[in-house]
Amino acid sequence: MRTGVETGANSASVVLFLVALFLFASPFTVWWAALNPPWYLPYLLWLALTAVCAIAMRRAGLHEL
Amino acid sequence: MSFSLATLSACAIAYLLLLFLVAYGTERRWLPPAVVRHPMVYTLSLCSYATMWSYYGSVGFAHRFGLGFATIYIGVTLAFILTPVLLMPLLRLTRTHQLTSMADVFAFRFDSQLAGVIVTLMMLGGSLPYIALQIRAVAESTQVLSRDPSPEPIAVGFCIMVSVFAIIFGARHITPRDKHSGLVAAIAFESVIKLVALLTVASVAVIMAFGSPAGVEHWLDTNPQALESFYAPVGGYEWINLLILAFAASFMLPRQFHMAFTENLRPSSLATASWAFPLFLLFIAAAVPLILWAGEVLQPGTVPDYYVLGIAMLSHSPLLALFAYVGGISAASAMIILATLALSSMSLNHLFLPLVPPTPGTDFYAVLRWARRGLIVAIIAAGYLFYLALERTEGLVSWGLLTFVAIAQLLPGLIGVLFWTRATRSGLIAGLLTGGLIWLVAVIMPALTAVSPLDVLGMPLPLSQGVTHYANVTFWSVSANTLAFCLVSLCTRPGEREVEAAAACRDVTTRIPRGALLARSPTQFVQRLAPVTGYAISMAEVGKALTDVGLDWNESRPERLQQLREQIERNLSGMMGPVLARMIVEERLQLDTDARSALAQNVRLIEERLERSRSRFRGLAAELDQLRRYHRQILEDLPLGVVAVTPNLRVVRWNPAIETLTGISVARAVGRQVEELDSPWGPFFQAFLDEDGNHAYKRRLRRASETRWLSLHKALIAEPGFGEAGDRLLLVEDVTELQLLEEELTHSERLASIGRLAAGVAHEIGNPVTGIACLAQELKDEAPDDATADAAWQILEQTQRINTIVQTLVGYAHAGSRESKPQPVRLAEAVEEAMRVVHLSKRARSMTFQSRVDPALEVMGDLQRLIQVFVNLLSNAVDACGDEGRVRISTRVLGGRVHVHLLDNGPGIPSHIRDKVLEPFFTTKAPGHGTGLGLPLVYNIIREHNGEFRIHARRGGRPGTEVLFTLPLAGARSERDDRRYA
Repeated sequence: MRTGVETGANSASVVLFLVALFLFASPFTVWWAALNPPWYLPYLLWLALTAVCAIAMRRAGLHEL
Repeated sequence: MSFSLATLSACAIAYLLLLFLVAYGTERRWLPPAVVRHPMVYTLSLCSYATMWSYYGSVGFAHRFGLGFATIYIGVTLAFILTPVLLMPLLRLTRTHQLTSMADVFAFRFDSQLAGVIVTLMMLGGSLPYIALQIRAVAESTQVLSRDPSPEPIAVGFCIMVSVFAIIFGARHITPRDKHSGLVAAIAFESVIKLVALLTVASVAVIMAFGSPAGVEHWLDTNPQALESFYAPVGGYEWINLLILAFAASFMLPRQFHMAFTENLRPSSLATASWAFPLFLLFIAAAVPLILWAGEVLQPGTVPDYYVLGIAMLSHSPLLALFAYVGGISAASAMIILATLALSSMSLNHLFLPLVPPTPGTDFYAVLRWARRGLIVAIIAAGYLFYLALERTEGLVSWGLLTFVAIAQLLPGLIGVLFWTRATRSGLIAGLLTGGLIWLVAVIMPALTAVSPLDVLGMPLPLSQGVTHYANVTFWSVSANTLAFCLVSLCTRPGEREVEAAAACRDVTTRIPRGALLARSPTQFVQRLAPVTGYAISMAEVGKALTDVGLDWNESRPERLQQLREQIERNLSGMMGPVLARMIVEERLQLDTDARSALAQNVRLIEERLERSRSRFRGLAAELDQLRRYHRQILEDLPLGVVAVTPNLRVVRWNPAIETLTGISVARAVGRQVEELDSPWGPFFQAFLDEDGNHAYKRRLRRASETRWLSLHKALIAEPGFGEAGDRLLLVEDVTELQLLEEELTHSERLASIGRLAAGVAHEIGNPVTGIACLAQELKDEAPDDATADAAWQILEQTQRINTIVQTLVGYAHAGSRESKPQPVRLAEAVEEAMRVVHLSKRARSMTFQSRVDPALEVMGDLQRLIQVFVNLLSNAVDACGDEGRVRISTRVLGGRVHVHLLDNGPGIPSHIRDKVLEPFFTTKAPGHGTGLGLPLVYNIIREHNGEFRIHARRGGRPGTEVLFTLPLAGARSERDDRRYA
């Protein structure tokens, strides 16, 4: 039983988590690693994930800087 | 280049002193508090996650395991993405119940001291290798820079300095409510130092080895095997398992838990950390492959673990090398300080205090403080021993992995805390023991000894403790743990307190107490706690709790005392762990579960909590809540006063209507005994409650300023199954207005019936009297002698008198009906006529009458009736005054009305009958001498003329009576007059 704000944040975080798993802990991971991409690619993916997380937190109103 | 041991020691000491300064300055508020409370400072303090393992070990790990080294940081990202679902609930839980470690959390949730002990032992045992890792890295990095084969003294010195720091800045406060801001600031500072150092070395490395960032690309193109081995482990079996390890460790490592939850100042900081912390780790992880490849190109002559230092030394900049060294010291010190603080607190709550319970004679707070300090020293010493004992064949990271596997055993239990209420303590303990055993046998013992028990049993393990081995152990231990946890939980039943605790963890609402408190006041609380904690501590704790919930020492309401009891339990939990706190509170501040007053008393408590949770209801719960509010609103909106009392005569409901009626506010009424309510209400309601009857009509309640009439009704609220011994409902109806109206009506009825009676009587008397008068007239005409004639004349006079009386009566009875239209009447004429009539009586002849009426003054009205008015008034004056009596009549015109003023110098009207003179038939004369209708008639006539009539004692001190009335001036007609007279 959560407030509307919290439910929104909860759903966003679970979705984001699944995306992160897909990127870094699934057969998809093996696939893109086998391509031997530039060394910074994983970091870019990671950065994108972090940025989306930041946006989601801010949107959800939990963020107070 | 190389440095002397002395230089390096001086560097390390200088840095640690700087750390002291930062911490001290923060506590002294040299920095504005807003800076310290900033979410970024909190986030940086969490970055103590990156220790020597990240600083040195990651490069070595990357060398062996490619990009797999980054799993340690990606796992953290995964965990912190789930902040709203995983970390926020934990934060709320720890803040509400003042839980300071995972051991506290498990002990609270599963209501088990044993769970706390097992978790503490596992954490202790698991953390020692990690501490040893830091000490090893300090020693080895010193070795690299100084090329001195025995860096032991510096390692020991480092341990000592770090212990001192931990004791001074981390073990000051004994409860988690007081945060260690200096510590947090110091750790944040350290994080910045190590990040900057690492990034600096990485940049230098890239420039030295590749010339520019593009050079890296170029080198990788020409050395494809580098990139291949970099990506080889990605997505593999070990990769997944390491992600799981890092996921668990990111917030369940003792130091991480401590910084993230215990030292958290604001929940919103955690929201910031959810993305900022992974970002920090991203930067650290980005530096690692660059340093690795640069090292492979430059070949600095060190093992890959220490490429950082090697490259720094190759740069021929002593400053850089020392900076890099200090960066490492920074990473190590942060880890050890925090880990020992967290572990000492955990050990205190779960190992020390249960064995050495507080005794009344000692200063308990001091015992806690000194015990904690002792534990800090002991743990660091144990870490040092581990450092000496563990095999050093593997890279740094393998020692860290030992710890991570231990932490991972807590994952199943965590799911039980947050999501699975069916989990039981037996399940948890079974799971922990299973996983722990596997960890011990497969990982710890091989690291400590050359021969593992499995070898003895005939199941040899690979000698190399490679990553694959750790991955296997992780998988098997966590799986076995989970399996045991689930199976045993399903086969056992949770206890009542466990269920309550599970509910509390799920939604962080504290439980509704079952039963009434035996203690009746805060002072009794103190007395009851004193045998366990000592009188001074007991006083202090109760006082603190009173301040927390905003009550005072005079509090006697049971529901507030329940709140106090809960707060005391929370505060004690912060000091000595939840299990011990609960034990003390349950034992000393007992509840009487037989007392059935619990439910009604707690209505208010339940309602308050429902209000707080209201926005979080969904579905059926929301509808039930709506229904509850609807029913409650009915009570609130009733124009009747509603009071609900428990069988113990305590008020539990007090609606707005009765608040208005009595002037006693809800806050003051609820929880009190009925008779304690402000007088006169308390005794009034109490008396009614004591009676047998259920209804009382028009009870009079006298107060200082007024009298009220109230109708009271009471009803029993029967509880199904409990028969008649339920709460009672009191309905209070204010019928004062009704009562007053009824009295007025009765009065009017009486007057009206008198009038009708008078009319009837007058009518009946008229005829006989006329007959008598005729006969008397005849007698007088034919009287034979003077005596008879005189007698006849007397008879006529008397009949005339009867006629006058009858006419007065009829005039009064007919006073309401108008027969003629108002005419202009000369007032002076009416007065003169009246005076002539009155002068006929003997007594009037000895009095003086003064008329100061303006002869030209005209009023609208009826001449005969106005004459009647003056006749009555003058007759009264004549009857009242004796000889030398004087009556003066004067007039004044004001605002379209004529004010007539009569003044006499008689004895005046006594004050006790002044109210009654206008009442019909009220007379002070002896029977037969007056009807008592004179003044009422005057009053009625004046009212018909739209005037006002007043009679009172003469002003100015002299005796006498004043009569004042107003009449409408002829010519100054108002609409109202037209309406009335038309």
